[in-house]
Amino acid sequence: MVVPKTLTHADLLLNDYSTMNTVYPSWGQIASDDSYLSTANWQSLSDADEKQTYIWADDDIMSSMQWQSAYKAIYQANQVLKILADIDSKSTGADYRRVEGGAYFFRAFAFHQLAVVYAPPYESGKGAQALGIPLKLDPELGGVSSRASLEDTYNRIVDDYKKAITLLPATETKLGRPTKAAAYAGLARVYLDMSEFQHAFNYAGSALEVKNYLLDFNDLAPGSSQPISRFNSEVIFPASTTLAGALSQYSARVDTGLLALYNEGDLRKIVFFQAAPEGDGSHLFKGSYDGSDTGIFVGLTTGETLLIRAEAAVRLGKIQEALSSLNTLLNKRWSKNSFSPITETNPDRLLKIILQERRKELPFRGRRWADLKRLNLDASSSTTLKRIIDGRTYTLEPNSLKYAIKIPKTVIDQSGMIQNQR
Amino acid sequence: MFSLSAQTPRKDSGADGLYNLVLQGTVVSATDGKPLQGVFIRVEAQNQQTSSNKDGSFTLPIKHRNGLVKFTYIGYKPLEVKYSVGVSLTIKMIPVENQLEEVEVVSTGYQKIPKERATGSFEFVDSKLLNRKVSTDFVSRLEDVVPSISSTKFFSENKGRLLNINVRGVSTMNSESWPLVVIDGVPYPNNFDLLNGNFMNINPNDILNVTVLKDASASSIWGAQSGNGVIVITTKRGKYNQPFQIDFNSNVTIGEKPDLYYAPQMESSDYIDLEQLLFDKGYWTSRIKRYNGSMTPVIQLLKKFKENSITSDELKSELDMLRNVDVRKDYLTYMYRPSVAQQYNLQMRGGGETLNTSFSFGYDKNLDNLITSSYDRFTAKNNTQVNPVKNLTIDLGLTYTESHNKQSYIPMGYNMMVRNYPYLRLADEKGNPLEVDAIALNPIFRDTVAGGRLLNWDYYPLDELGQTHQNTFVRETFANVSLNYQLLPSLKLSMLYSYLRAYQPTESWRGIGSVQQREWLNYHTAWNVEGVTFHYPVGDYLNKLHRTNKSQQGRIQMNWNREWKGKHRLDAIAGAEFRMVSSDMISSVFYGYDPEYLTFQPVEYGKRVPYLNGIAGSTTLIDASQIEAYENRYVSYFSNAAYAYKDRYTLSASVRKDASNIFGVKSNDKGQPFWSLGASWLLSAEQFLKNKTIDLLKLRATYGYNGNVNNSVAAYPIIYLSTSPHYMTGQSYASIQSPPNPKLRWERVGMWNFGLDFSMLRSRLSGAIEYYIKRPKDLIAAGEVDPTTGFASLTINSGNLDGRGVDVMLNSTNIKKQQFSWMTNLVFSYNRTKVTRSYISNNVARNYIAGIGASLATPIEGMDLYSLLTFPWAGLDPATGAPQGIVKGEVSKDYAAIVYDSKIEDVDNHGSRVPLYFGSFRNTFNLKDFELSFNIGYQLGHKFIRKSFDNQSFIDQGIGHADYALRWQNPGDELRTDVPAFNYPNALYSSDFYRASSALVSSASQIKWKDIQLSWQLPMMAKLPVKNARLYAYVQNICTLWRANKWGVDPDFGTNIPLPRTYSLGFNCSF
Repeated sequence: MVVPKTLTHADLLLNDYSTMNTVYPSWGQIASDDSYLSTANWQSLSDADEKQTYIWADDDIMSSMQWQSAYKAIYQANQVLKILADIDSKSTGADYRRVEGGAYFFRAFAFHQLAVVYAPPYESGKGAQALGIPLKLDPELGGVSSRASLEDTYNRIVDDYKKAITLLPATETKLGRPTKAAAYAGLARVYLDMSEFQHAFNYAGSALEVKNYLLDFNDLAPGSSQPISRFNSEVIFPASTTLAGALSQYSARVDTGLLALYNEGDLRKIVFFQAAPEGDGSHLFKGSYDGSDTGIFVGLTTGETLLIRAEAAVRLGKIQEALSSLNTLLNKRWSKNSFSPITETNPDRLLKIILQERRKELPFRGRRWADLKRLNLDASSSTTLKRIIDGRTYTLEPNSLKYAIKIPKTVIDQSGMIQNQR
Repeated sequence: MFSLSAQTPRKDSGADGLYNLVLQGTVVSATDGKPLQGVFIRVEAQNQQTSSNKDGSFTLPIKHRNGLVKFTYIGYKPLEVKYSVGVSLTIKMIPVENQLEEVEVVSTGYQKIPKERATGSFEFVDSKLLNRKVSTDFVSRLEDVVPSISSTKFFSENKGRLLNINVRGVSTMNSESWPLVVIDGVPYPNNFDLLNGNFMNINPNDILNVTVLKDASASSIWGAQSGNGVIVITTKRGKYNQPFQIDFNSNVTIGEKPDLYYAPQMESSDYIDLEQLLFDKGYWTSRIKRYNGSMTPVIQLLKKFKENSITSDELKSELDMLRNVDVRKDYLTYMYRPSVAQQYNLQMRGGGETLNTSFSFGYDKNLDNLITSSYDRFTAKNNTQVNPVKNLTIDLGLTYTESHNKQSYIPMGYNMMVRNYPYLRLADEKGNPLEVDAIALNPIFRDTVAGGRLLNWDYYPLDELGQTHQNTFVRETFANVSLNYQLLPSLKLSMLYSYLRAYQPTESWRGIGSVQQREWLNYHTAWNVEGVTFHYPVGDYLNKLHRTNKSQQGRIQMNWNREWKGKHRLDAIAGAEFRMVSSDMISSVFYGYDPEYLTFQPVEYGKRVPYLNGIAGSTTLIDASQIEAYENRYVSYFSNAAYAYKDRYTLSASVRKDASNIFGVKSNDKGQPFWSLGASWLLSAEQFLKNKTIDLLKLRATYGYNGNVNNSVAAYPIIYLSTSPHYMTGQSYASIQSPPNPKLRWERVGMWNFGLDFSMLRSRLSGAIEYYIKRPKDLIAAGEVDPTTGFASLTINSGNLDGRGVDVMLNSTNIKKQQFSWMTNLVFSYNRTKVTRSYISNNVARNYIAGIGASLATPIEGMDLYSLLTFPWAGLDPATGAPQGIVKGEVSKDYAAIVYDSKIEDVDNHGSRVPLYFGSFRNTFNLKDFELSFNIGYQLGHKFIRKSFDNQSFIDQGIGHADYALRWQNPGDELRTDVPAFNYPNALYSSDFYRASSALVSSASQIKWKDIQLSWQLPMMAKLPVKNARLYAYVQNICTLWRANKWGVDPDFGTNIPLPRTYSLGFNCSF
């Protein structure tokens, strides 16, 4: 036990993988349409909040664990920045910059994960009126927290990522720690969520310049129960959600519509999924980039970054760049010699293809919820979600207020901050 | 007390003039009549002094013909006598030891005070009372003996390790709540580590007496550690000029098997029916396909039936067979035994003129109820006092304790399996061990995984009893030396140094013969068609953990004791103390260990490997070896003075300042003064009260502050540098231990104490009555905070308490005849601790609803600190048998609203969960050489919440309860029962509500017959060199005489099974 004072202490705090990398909220994934639950499995869930979230009920979220654990990562990042600020400023060498950049990165990443779940979708020009999330920027524990505007929330995330970009090194030997590529990729993801496609295109490109390794799915063992291993070379930054029973292999079954999208020869179908033990034709997900069935992988990968670049490119009218990114990815996803590159040049049709590939590449990655939110803003790409439990049908309309998950009751009770409306 | 044995008129004293008067005489020791050299002799009024010669004689020129002369000598009671010139004095001085036996002398650890002169509140437990009970530990001997001590039995496992007793209730919310233990002036650390606490190390046979310091005046000299009261132990020692003597004591205690039938276990038949119901409703549909879920035998049968591999007749006959099984029968037959505790103790002591010594050796051997658990202890102790030169005494103490606690490494007791179904069988009718399904893996998966090439997964508990162990040794050396030097007749210098070193090696071993080890090895495997790779070498697991705890203490102290003019008396001490407590730990882990050849095999630590060949993901081979160390240092300054006028009016004051290196107590707050003031008035010494009825009447009043240390919170952020690499990344890392709290202060306990001591009718009736007000301030407590801070709760100085109480001790000799006597001792305590201030402004009731068996403080203004809060109960719904609560004054089944929205004012407050009135009633009869005594203990005025059957616990965890048989089944049942109907799916939060509802609250009051003791003092055997031979028998935990609740629950023990009755037989004698 020590009072943290040194650069080493700050560095070690960022190595706290359990606190910094594995604590992100899973509500968005539970509420999204990557998977479904049978009535029996839904009934046997032991976590009531998961049950309610699955059917988009209006009930309050009772457990504050998911909120608190993500804010713990933010606290720890703020604590690291405080330690650094108190260190003699002469010692601003490479290590100092690496740690400082890491702290900004973790804070940005955590804020973004929280905003995706607890804030409404970002719409350009409307962010000043909408509510974002509380922006804790120092490790002080006193004071009352309140929600920043959605505009300020996203500005802060962008600022923190930009600081991280200037500070982080290109390579990092410590597992779980961010690099410059991670900050680029994280920022590209944020800009995509904000529909700022030029920025998304640029930063995705910058990320891929530093890191572009892709797993070749032909090299994986699809019969294995976890074919993709933790910390594999395609991971730009590893992160996962807290454990959720509603998403485990025992309960969650892959959405049949999603499953139907995969074509013959697409290895992702056998790497990501396998027939569920019920023997009723349903499938379970086993393709976590975390190599486990504990939390959902929500980190950054080269694959996702290529898709960000492809989508942003096609929306900016850069058809060739879009095709190039898309085909680079798919080439590693299809079985050898069966893949024929996509050649579609009609922007609308190509966008449809890219969005579909996004769906196929990123199931159970926490991205679907964010995608639903932003795509629903455009009527042509909106989706209505349905659940059937015990004969009763529940629906989630596009742009429903329910896309901002309710803030835990304890947080509202303690701080008096404004709850997401229903 | 003293004696003036001869006053012989001198014949040659005619020539007495004004300036040549002479006082003459001799000073001898009262015990052996030998002359004393160097006795300080002073005539106060004339400022003249001298000292005695080698032959004890003295001559002192004096001015006045008559007056007072005072004699002072180290180790002897000072005395003042009237002289008259011409009369030679022969003074017999009485050694201090002898005096101590006559007057009840209490010890604060810094000084010894005759109880008559004390202003503070002390309880004194003498050797006889302490030895009335038979036990391995000393702590349990303090229960039901003196007022103010209450004990907690919720945690039966750590008995003798943790103190588990409170003095005058609880005076903290979150810090150490057990009293400080002091042995021969040295604090005995009680917070090294919770697993291996050392109170069991103190052999009760070595204890001479115990003083309990209860109020500020008595205990504030211990400063920041005294807030919970102080227990001062004085160990036995030899005496000067005492012939060599041997004392022997031995006893054996047999304990009954624990009453497993006390446990409200659900009927096997009910359990099976309910499992079947859940199975039919689909609860198991996906679960039986999981590879890593355990299935009870019934679920396995139902699965087989579902898959058509058994017929319905076969299913029925198998189930019917299980319906008749009760797991408790097997546990009682195969896992539990009557406990046997043997105790032997030998003491040798003796002393000459300048040296006395005592040696003691103790051996205890306990075979616990659980067949895999045992304990033995060896103690050796020496106390020596030397008087090498005039005015100097040196005390040396040396204690060595070696104990060995043996447990199975895998819990073996009742209800310790993964799922504890009531029809579990450990053996068949012939006693052959049976397989138990306790591995959290699907049996089908187990049998087929890796083509059956893994190690055997079968678990036969009875075959594996000896396949794991955890051996904890404690080897403790405690040495102290103290030095007393009489600088001046009234001034003494004392120095003390002590060194305590407890070396605690713990060996945790899991042999390959245990299924847990095979499971561990199997999980860390990879396989393919060619073969299986074990990433941990196949063999035993061994973890050797070495912990060394050290405590050093040095003290220098000046003692000033002076009487003058026969009226004034001043006793003062002042000193400084340095204490250092450190602990280090090193833990090494070995795999592939072979106990025969002491070999082990390497592991590729840091490597990422598939977990169960990737079925369960991947994992890193992590070296679980650890190294840890810490050191706390304390510096304290203290002073204490008592002034007495005519021995009737006493004023006392004390002050102490503590400083420590404990994290985060901000530097300006580091030194925290604690102080006390006290006064007493010995009414019985006043002329107007001099009569024959009253022997003693004394009034006392004190006020002051004690403190309490909390090492777990800090003003600065504290990080924990992990001693082993992160299990996922394999990297070293640090985590936040506690966030910064710049406003942190030490806890303070302010206390008023008013006391009345009395003795009347020639001590036939005596006792003490005390009233106190205890006000702990700035208590450090956890409060729920906005989770946006990153923390769900934080500890801050958030509370003030107000404890009020009464301690009464009444001793009465009812009959006193030549051959027969009857004595009664009544001990009564009242303690009620309420919260007066709590900064936590959260009024959500569920944060303060502890439920069963837990102890959660309720820091809510106006409430008892430990209040029992529950959700109001509105009975069962007559139509459905669903539990009903209250929301906004209306009967409701909105369980989410009940459980999560209820405010503190919405729920029922049943009052204190800890006894408000407690004590004991002891009667002792003496007839000739026989003594019979029995003790009745009572705890009254508190409430408890009991366990019941709740749907959710059964559904999620398979936890049943006998109350299931009482559940609502048909309309009308709500009139006779509060147990809800069973439903699946269970309404959300309905069980959370029922578990913590007023339906389950009862009064916890009860009166128990604690023990009975019979002893026979054997008649002197003239021809044998044996003295004081005594035979004794003792029975403990006899029965409950009265109990307020009708459920048969003993609230003392929470959810545990009460301690079984024990029978002891013993013998002691002296040579």
